[in-house]
Amino acid sequence: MSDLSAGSWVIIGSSVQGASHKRGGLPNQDAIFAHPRIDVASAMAVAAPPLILAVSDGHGSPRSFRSGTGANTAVQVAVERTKEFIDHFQGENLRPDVIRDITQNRLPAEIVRSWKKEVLEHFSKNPFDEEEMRKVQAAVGNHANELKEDQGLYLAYGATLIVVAITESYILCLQIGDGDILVVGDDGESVEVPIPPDLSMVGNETASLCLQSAQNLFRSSFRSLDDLRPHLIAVSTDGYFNSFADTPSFQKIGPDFLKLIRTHGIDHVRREMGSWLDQASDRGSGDDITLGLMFRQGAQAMPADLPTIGFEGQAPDKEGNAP
Amino acid sequence: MSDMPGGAIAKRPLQFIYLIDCSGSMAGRKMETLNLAVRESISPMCAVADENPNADVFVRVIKFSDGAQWHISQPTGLHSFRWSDLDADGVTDMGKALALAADALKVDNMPPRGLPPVLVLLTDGQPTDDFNTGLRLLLDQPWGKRAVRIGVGIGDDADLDVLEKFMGNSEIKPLQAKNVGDLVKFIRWASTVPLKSASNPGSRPSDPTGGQQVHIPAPPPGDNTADAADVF
Repeated sequence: MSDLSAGSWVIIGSSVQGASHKRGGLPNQDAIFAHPRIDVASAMAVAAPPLILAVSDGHGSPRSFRSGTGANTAVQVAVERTKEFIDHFQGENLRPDVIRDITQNRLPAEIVRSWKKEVLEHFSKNPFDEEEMRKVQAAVGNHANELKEDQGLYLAYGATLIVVAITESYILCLQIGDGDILVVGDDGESVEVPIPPDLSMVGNETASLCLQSAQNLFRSSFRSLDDLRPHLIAVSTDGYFNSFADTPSFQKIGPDFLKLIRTHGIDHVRREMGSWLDQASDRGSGDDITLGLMFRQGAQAMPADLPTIGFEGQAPDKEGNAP
Repeated sequence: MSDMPGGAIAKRPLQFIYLIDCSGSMAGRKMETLNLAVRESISPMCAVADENPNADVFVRVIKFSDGAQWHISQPTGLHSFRWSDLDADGVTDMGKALALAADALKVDNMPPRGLPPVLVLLTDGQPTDDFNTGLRLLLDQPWGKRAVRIGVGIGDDADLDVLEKFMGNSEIKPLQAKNVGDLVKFIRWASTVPLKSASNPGSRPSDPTGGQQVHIPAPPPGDNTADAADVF
């Protein structure tokens, strides 16, 4: 067990509709979910490990017209399956390298299987209607027929996924598709990228849960807490990275968020996050932006003015409707 | 430190490249019309860009006849872009033009957060050099493969098979401008509609065939009723 396992972590998150989606009348198709639970209205959760944070970016293209549902489903099954794995291993007392091999090889398959099961269930209750197909046909012509092919229905729900799990000993990161994970170290300045970007994907192209070989397209990182020594972890959809002029400008968010938490308090950051993401989308990418932060309080006492929401906070349903 | 976390915020860059046939057969009315049409497309392109304010469009131009060269080599912001007329003389080294575009689209030369590039190829004839090698070089580049590629044939002698290979799009065939009016219309369409489609920030699942991912609406039809005097 790491010495960093003492004390508590705080999870906060925010998800904003992109500027281009506001202009086009499209909803926010990103999603965020965590254990302990937070909701997308910039609430927070406070807990000792294990903690799990998931973000997802629904594709939003004409053929992926239910990708908002796909993203909400993705974050929920990802947190549920990851929690099951962690609980199982804590009971088994396995060596770290065994845990690493099993989570990196089996957990992606379980997440994809669960996601497809939930999506199929949703589709069975809500088949594509004429109006939906008419809109797709008008937008993409004959490419609309791909939705009728074997496995084609999943394209309508297509989404990326990032999961970060912190236990008492290790940090597990899993990712399919675009998006970013930044880890700010104990020094408050160093930034590590546990899963480097996939340079084979350019120009809005991404791996996706809807692809047939999705379980083989996950990338992963498994590090001990003592090795990584995180003070803050930022998990975001690609709308955020794409809003900055270059990679260093984006990676600066890590140390900056940490400074803001230290100087102004976690509640200030929680309240202002949505506005900052709105500004980034408006002046930058135009895309939906979702950001989750996992901040290690350590052995410090929690501020007295923190709201009591968190452990009891509820996630949106799989349609994205607030509870 | 300003309160907002992170460094400089910026729109996403979109590279737009014209590849223009300047061979001898383009001399006269074809080149006059092309020069006019490109110049007159700038304002509608700016209008499209203004409707998609999160994309920063940069324009460059490759000309090809005897060899291929940059006519405008510096990526130029759309609102600063000014057209300078092209002349026509020589053969049709289209393959070299594609190789030049391929070099510009190498991963090291492109911003990682860029939107899919748009390439518009205008020609009235057949390539006189190794077109297939030039196309392969272009499609070997990830940005070249993902680029929106539009081909416009000018007159009856344009090689539409070559343009179809360049476009690699099962939904849209090369445009064929047989008269002055069509050339103006098609250059305006090729300069604006693909730009609007490529400006969309939404992600797309990777295609196992590695093809283009951006859907382009169908172009307008040609005009078969043009005056004989306007036919190329």
